[in-house]
Amino acid sequence: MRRPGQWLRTAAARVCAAQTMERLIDPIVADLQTEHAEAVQGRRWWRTAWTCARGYAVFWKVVTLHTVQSTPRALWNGMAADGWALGRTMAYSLVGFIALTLLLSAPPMVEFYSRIPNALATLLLVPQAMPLTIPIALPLAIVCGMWTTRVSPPRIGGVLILAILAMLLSFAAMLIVPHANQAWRVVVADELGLRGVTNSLPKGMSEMTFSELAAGSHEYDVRGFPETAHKFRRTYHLRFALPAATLVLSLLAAAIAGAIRGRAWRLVVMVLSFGLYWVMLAFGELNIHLAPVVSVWAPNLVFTAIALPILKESSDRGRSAGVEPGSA
Amino acid sequence: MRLPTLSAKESLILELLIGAREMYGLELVAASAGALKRGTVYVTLGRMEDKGYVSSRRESAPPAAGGLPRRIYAATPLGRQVLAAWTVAASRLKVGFAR
Repeated sequence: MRRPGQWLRTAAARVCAAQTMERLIDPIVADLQTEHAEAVQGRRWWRTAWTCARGYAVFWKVVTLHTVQSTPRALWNGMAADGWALGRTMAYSLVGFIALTLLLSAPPMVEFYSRIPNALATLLLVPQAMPLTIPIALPLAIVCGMWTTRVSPPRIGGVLILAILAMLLSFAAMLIVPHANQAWRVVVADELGLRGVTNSLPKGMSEMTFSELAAGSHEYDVRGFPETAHKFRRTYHLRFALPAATLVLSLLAAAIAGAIRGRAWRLVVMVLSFGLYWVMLAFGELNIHLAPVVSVWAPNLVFTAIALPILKESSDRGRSAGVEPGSA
Repeated sequence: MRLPTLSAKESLILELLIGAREMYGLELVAASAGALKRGTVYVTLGRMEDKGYVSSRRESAPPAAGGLPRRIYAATPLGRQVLAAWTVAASRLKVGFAR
């Protein structure tokens, strides 16, 4: 007969260290099984169910607490044992993100401020650069930070976690940008004294939220303007595809770091990959006969199909040779 | 030199263990009158074991009704020493504040 908590223990044994199993998981499961057995012997069926429910709740509470408490230390130890490749990558990506964001947003900010010296409106120009700079900064940081390191499964895991976090950040930026853009237009209209002319400023696609874009594409379909509806749908899908590009390009960067010798060559290949990505997007934009979902997501799918086999091959090669295949 | 630290929960656990010699985790929870919680008592006990304040062993005989053997905890000499030192320090601080 399978005792309560047995499957929990089996699942935990796959991911937890031996000490965690011995000190945390096994005592909790042992308590659950002991109390459950006592309740069954006493034929107190309601207590049996309550014991199980309480035991499972305690298990998940403790696992969550332990994960939150031990993850920072485990991450720190893991990064130190790894020669700080991931730490370097994180530092480079932060520096790259700030530098690229400033590079993209500084010129319009300076020009705008020279005409309308409004600090708030000037700062509202910053968010629109972020959905572009995040998918560029992290892959470049991976190529630079993973130099002279073997592409091993733990490092791929670290890159994956970083890329997922960056993707979520990029998506959050995508949510903020329409509101920041519209807020900028309102402030500028106020500055120029135009708010008296119209109470509301009509929004362009860059200022529309997801629901507004969806509604707009439907409206233009109904009105018989398929090209405009196409643009609305394309913009809608881009707001998902660009954050996803962060993950895709990061995996490609890890593949390049493991497969190509020579630091300069890795950077060249990565920059060319960026160029190819944007060319594919531009091609999709020009080709209105392609469905927006296809034209927008195709570059992500193509680059994923390129990155994964290279990454696997680099990882297998590095593991079997025991050397650093991509070291300069 | 870093002095050993003792939190309120660790101090309570040591007091209970010194009084009873050896206890299961659930017995500690029951004896604490709500101060210690199920599950999280093992997080505290694990930390105390790292510090050397408690030791643990698996119960030798399997439980009568089956299931995993439970862990039994006992205070170590270091744990007793640290509790005694903190008790003295706490009582002197109380006197100091009372003046």
